Amino acid sequence: MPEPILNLKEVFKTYKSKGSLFGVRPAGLVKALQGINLEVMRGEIFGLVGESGSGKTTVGRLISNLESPAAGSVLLDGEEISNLHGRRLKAYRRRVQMIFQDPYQSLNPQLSIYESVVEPLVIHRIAVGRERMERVLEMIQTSGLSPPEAFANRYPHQLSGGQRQRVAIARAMVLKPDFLVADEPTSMLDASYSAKIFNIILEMRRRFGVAILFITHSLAAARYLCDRIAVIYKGRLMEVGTAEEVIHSPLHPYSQALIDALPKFGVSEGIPRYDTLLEVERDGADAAGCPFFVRCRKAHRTKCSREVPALEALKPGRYVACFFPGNGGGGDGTGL
Amino acid sequence: MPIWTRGSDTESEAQDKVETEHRYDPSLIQRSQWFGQLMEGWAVFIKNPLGRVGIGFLVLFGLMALCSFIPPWIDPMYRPMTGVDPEIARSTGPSIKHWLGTDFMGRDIFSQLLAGARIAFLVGVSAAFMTVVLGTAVGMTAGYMGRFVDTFLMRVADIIMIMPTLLFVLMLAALFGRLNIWAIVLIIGLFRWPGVSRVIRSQTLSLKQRPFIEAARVAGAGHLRIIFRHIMPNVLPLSFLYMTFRVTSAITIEAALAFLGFGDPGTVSWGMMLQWVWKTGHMFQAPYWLLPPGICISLITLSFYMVGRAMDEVLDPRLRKEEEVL
Amino acid sequence: MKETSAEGKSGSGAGEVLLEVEDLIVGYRTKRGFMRAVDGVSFHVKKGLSLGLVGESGCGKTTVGMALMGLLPPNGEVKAGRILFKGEDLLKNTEEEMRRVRWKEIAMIFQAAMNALNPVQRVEKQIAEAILTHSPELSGKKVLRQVEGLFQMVNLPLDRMRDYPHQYSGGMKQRAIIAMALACNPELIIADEPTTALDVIVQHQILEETKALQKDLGISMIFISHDISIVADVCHDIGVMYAGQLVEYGSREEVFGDPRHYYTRALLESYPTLSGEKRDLVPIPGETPSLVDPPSGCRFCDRCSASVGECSMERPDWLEVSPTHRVLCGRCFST
Repeated sequence: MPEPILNLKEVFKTYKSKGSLFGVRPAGLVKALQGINLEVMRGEIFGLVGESGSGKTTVGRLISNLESPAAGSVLLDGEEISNLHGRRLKAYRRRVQMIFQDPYQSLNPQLSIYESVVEPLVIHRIAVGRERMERVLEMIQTSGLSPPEAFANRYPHQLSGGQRQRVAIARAMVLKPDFLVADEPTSMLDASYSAKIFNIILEMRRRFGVAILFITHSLAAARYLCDRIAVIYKGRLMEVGTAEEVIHSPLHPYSQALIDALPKFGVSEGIPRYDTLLEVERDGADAAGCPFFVRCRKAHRTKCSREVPALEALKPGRYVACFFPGNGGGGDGTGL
Repeated sequence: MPIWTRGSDTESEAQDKVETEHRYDPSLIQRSQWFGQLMEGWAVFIKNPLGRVGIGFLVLFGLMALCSFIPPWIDPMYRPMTGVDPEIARSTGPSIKHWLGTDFMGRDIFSQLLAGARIAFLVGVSAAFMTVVLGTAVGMTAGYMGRFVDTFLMRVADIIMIMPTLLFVLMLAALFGRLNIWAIVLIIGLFRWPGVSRVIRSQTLSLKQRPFIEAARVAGAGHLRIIFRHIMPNVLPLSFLYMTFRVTSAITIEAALAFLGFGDPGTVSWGMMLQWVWKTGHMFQAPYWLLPPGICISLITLSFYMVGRAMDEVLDPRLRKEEEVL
Repeated sequence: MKETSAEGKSGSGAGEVLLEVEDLIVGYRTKRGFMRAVDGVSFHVKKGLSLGLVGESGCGKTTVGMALMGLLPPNGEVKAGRILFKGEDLLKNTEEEMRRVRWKEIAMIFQAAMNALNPVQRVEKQIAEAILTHSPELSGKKVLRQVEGLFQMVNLPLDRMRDYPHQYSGGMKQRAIIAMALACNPELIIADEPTTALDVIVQHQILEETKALQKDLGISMIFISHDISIVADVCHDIGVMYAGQLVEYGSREEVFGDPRHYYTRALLESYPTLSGEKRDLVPIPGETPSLVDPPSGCRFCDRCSASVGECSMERPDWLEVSPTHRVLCGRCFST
């Protein structure tokens, strides 16, 4: 039985939005996360899939302790992380690392690759002298930059975006963390470079047994990397399950819409079309119901607009937040 | 596992590489890298015609400052302040003995001009250094700390910024009599930092938002490390740039003060020379006396400005990119 | 189904050639010498059909688009080749003549199009201006009606016409940009990474709409993207570019159904898909070669799984797989 390493319990996060100058738009609260429950197992790659503004990046920032939740708790090995300070925060930082989305912005332009990668070791006073150097070089090599000596002396501006992202991976992994947050690590890169990054992430898991939260907007990418996938929409989880389950038999209309939207390379056989997205959005954006109600073709006019469906388990490990799970299509290819 | 570095070999390969690399010395490499970057910047800088001309003039002025010790060593009558040619007691035009002529009491103008270069550098660079150190420290503190520290420091900066430096120095001079040259440097330093601090603050603010700062936080870096390792190296080039512009303004202020008669009476600066020309009524009679210090002041400020502009190009990635492509 | 109808159209070959590019060589003067960003590229676009140019960043695909529009940066230069648009060589045009062709006959949707809208002007006004620049004789009312038509065409709500760009979402901005490109009824639209910054669902919608628009209006398109799945979805013909050269060129069915160049194959193998068995992704090893001093033989040989000794020595020749499908690879028939 795999044991969980990270838990999110009823996590809420709100941001203050500034009102406009003449009060046309009042200042208010943007609800980024509305009660997220998550569990990531030791050594697992967990995919968090959603569009921009869904709150997926916020989840990553909460876990890496760049921000604190408004309510709820984030637990690493059962220990609450949001009120860590001083030495205990530093110990936490050693165990949880992050890869950022934009490799052009996430490396200090003034530091050489070696200096960037060695910094976490310096901060945590791990290894000294040759041992430290070897550890850095080894991690640069494992990240696919070979020979590492040639890269160690370069500066970020001398590398391509993909190479920079590898450096960022090396910097995150040099501490051999237990948990890694990867926030859309390939969205700024050429599509053809993604596979390299994916394979390096898999290699890191294989070697160091690190658990990974892989944040992405692409279900296809999540399929290749992840053991389990959660689909997030407007700060709520819509569906959780193993990667194959979510991709081959999605139950939530939103996950189904995401699958419909993926490019098919001109071949459509074997891929069902769910067709759950409305052409024109419904009125009722401020309705108290399901967040997907306004875009959902399958929604029930009264029930879905009034009640928020809870994320409920259909069977162990398979959750969906919909009153009519699997209502759309069901994979028979008829497209309803 | 198909990893492109050919699967299971990776580990042993990496190990081999590390084993065989015995002479790998990070300290050596960092230094040479830093030097390399500097040289790279220099290469861009020196391509710029402005930078080339500016540096050329500055080297010339530097030589003048260095040579200012030679004439008094040859003959005491060439001492810029106290040396008087015993045969001449009035202003005379250029001659072999006095290349640029003499002033109203028979002092050598050429050796005064050389001494003036030394003073210009001294005042310009030390005042600018003070402004920039102050401005950078305040700007970084305000930008990084934010909240009320930011508000407080920036209000102070605003207040000082709107005070006219020259007027204030004049008032001080009127209060305390003649100011010595270091007092002038100090006052310029204390009054000219707000502009720098504003720029540094906004730069710090934008850096603070950059993901690499967040990455450092995730790595466990404390405030001091973030400030000194991540923000400062990215801010210092800008400070350095501002320093060249501040040198210009410091030299101008000192010259203006001296010309108005509030300079340090114990030093020979170009502004001082102009004041003597003016006070003794030689303004329109002795161009050999009036023009050299005038031209020197204009040229030295111009060349610092040009150097600054050329550095701007080195630092501005957009301008630099174009340079690289062309 | 949409796919079969598109195939029917390209298969009939009825579309006459609108744009023909022959041996185009474009480069940039750099510190280290002349960099041939585009090195001998030939292709054509038929009336009413779309061509996809796909390749990694730095392969020269954007430069091709810029050269077609006559919008190269100051240090860029067309060294050789011909760009025949409706039989007329655009490269011989003066800047004045080029300005008339631009937007009116060939429009472009730029990379990072989100920033192409003027933030201080209402969207309606911006599109109206685009129309007026090229047909100043139109009355205000007529222009307004045209703008309304364009808004409907790209599925933008009419009540948002008088909004400012910042009030639009990313997808809406992109639609506004497309409307602007359509404003002067161009015959050819060059779209450079038009959906890169968009979310999956919005991207899908816009691509579907673009396809439909193109079919309905009979516009030709050149789609430039690094994402092979996007061109596979939208385009009738595909040109795969690598290191400044076109390496494989043919109809979508030919290029994706029977990829011959090892680079095309590698691109496909490195792309994660939903269909079929889950397989391991095979990344393309190495990095792209320098264009200042490109390898003398096949430019892909260092990264190619099938390269043999002579690949790095001899320049490969074009080989015809079929009359509409050609490959720049000496070994494409060996397996």
